[in-house]
Amino acid sequence: EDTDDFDAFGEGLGPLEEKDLPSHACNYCGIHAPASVVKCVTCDRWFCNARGHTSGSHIINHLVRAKHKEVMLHPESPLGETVLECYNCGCRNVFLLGFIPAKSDTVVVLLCRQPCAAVPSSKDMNWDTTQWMPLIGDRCFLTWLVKIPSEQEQLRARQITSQQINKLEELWKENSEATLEDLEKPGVDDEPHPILLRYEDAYQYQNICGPLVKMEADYDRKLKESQTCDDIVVRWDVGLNQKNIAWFYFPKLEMGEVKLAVGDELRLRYRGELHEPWEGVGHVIKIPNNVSDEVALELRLLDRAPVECTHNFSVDFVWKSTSFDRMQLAMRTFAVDETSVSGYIYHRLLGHDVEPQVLKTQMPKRFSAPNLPELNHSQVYAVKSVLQRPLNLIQGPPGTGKTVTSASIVYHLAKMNPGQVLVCAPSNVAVDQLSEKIHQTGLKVVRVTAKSREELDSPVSFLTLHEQVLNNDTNVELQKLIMLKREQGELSASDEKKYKSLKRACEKEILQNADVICCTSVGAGDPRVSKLRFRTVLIDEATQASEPECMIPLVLGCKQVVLVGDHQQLGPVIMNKKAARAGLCQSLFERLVILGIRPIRLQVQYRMHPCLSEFPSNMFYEGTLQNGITTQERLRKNVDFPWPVPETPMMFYVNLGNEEISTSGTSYLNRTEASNCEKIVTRFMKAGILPSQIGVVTPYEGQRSYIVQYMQFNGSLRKDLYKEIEVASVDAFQGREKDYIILSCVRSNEHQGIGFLSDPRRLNVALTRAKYGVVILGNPKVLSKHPLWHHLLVHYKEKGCLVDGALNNLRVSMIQFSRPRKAYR
Amino acid sequence: YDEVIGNDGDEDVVVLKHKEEPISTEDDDEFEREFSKMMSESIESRKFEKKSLILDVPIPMNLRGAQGKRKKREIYANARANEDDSHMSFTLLTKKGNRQQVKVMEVPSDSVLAVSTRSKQEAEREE
Ligand SMILES: [Zn+2]
Ligand SMILES: [Zn+2]
Ligand SMILES: [Zn+2]
Repeated sequence: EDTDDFDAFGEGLGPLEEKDLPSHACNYCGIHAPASVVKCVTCDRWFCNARGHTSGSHIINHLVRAKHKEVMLHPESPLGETVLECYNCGCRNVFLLGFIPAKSDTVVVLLCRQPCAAVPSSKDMNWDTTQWMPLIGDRCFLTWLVKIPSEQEQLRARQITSQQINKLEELWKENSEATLEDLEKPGVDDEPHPILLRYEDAYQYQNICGPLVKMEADYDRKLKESQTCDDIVVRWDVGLNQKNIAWFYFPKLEMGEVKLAVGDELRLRYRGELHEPWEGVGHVIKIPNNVSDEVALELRLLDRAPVECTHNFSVDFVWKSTSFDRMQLAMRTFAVDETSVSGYIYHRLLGHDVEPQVLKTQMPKRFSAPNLPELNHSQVYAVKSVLQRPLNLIQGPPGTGKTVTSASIVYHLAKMNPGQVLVCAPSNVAVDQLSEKIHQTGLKVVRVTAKSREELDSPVSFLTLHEQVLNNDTNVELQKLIMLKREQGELSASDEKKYKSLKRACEKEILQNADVICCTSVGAGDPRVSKLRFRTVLIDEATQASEPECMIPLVLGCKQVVLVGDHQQLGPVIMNKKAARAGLCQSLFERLVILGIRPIRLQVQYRMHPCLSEFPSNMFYEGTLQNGITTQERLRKNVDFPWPVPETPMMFYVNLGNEEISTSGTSYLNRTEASNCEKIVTRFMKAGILPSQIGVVTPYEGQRSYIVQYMQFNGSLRKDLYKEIEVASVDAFQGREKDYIILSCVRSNEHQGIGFLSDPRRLNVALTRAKYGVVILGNPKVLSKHPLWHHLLVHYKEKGCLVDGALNNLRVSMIQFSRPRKAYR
Repeated sequence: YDEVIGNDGDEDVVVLKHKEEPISTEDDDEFEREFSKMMSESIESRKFEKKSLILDVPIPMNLRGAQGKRKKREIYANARANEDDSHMSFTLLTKKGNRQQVKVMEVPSDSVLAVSTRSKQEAEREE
């Protein structure tokens, strides 16, 4: 081998002489040992099998990012020039290929996993299909097929990061001759303008945030529109409202990219021979959960679905720009309409320095609201401060009574201020919870929902605008038309027109008579709400909304604003990486905190056993969380469970099993953890814990569905008991609580990061859901590499709660932790 | 499948000493998601492939059974000369056009393939 090449690498970051490298050198790092490189047949580029600084080898990185699938070995490699393909059918997709050995000889062939290797092994067959092993394991080619370059070679090679790889692949799409050096050239890296901390004026604000919202919208549309799924098998059913309901399994969902939510629209199409082509749009009324993996879609009455057919259906997402349009409109209103917010709020939102303002208000004698629990000192302080100031942030760590505090604030604001109070949150669940609490204080509450959600069952349906219209008895003519419409399904054109105008008038009257109007932040852009003016606005879960989303309820004339949230818990979900990187994932609440507005923190938590709140308090809240609940109140003496230290119901249960790609090839799963999870759940239930009070949290969809299935098939108790146990992602548990939480971490792979679990805010949420006990299943060797997890492991170890062994014979674990990569904070 | 992954863990991996920074970045997370997607789409795309392609791959006579093994040993004497205990030789069948080709492939003795083949051979010998 020509060592001169290597000397060029020795310069480290110095310019690399591209021309000195042979044509089969890895296009990323320059490594060119024939046994270590393969050629991508699709684009004729060579790549090596080293991971470098990434979690997959270079060739796998390329194949995945370029969506190429076929490769060839180098002529001078041990096997000589070989295109990797299925011996049986010729399929060349390396993601499907694997070796199978002969039953009685040391002979192997490459076969595709589907269909060739899926044939069950029969007695008279030469080959043993049960032994099929994939060509790609751990995101790298089998190392004995494509050698991993030596450490020496790797050290001397060009050091390339995932980010550079990503950009280079992007560049190749436009210019196939591009090289790494081109990355340095100006103009290549067209990242959008990042958000600012302070803005000159609202025009600049709109000019910077607008494009980010557009990027997110474009991304969302592309993503949704690419989700067409064919070969859907439908099971038909009829709802109580006589509408047809299609039940089906939607395989795309497991990829975790598209989040389906109740209320979303899907288009169902039929293209078979048993019925003429048909399509209809419906609303999702059920998404996969622990009871079943099916999706239920409620179709419109008029669509006359071909209910006699079951096969040959396709499903598309129906993308709607509504929420993005409303964000854009809110920012425009903020810019052009001087009355959209008060002068003071205007300047504060833009980050300008202004004299603090104190509102002259008559303080109430009592801060707690009627029919709501008595407030504690930090809650009273929060209410008091809010009433006197035009702009407020309230931080509510887990279990600190955020909803009660918000409801009490709204009660006083409604009593003190003229006009109605607008109460919003990004999610429907949060809006429902808060509306109910506010209703308890005796205020007149109207909950405005999206039209698509009107048919959905909700605990506060009696508060919804459409129900209040249906139940109003002041307008006899409207009532008649409503009855008629219900009986006939539709109205004559003139009746329909009359009905609509009467309904609008009725809605207006109900809204005007309300004390409080509740809707989602996006819902505040609904014309029924946005035509009104609101002097006072409270936004709950404000740290989970993107800034433009938060603006929608604010630009309706606000003079006094309360943002409630917790920037130490999960933030807004932004799908487009570039937009997220540019700062769209930062909430308005967070920006205001950075600008120096101190949030008022609720400090007493009533949820967790004190031992469970200790770590989150120290790690995420500067140790300020106090316990409003005693150890005694959170100990269940009659529950027989092998806690290593009975008075501290927490444990980290060492699970060294390996993670894998789930059966459908997507997401991750870990069988050892799933099996132990079932054992723990069973043990809890035998000890008398209700299944509805046990939650299993896992960050991966693959593990979620595996645990659900595993418990169904292997659980030793009655099957339907396991169905009642909620198994879900961290995100799905945010804002909620259970008596016992089992956290299955899944990742136990040396080469990857720990993915979702490395986000401190996600860890905080996961750890703070339980009232009585927490069990963490995970691999300390891997997790301890992350500084935050290292702290957590040390904490569990110091408490004597780090254990291994069988569940009925747990021992204190002696496992050594890895050195964390970088200090946390 | 379990075992494959189980044994593919630490042993044959080159860990570079200078790798101190955390590996997990947004780009890595994205790569992992794309990887999973690639896998699943590959499988999805062939879910409904006809299974009529019966797995009918004959093992060439010269590679069969004990005799074949001796013959093979002669044929590939060179390849086997420098073989030590750390590797086991397998023959990989491939096709070039319609012609069958055989290639020697050195597989680490501690890989699942080698281990299970050895234990099969031992079981056979005992019979
Ligand atoms: Zn490389
Ligand atoms: Zn390629
Ligand atoms: Zn095949």
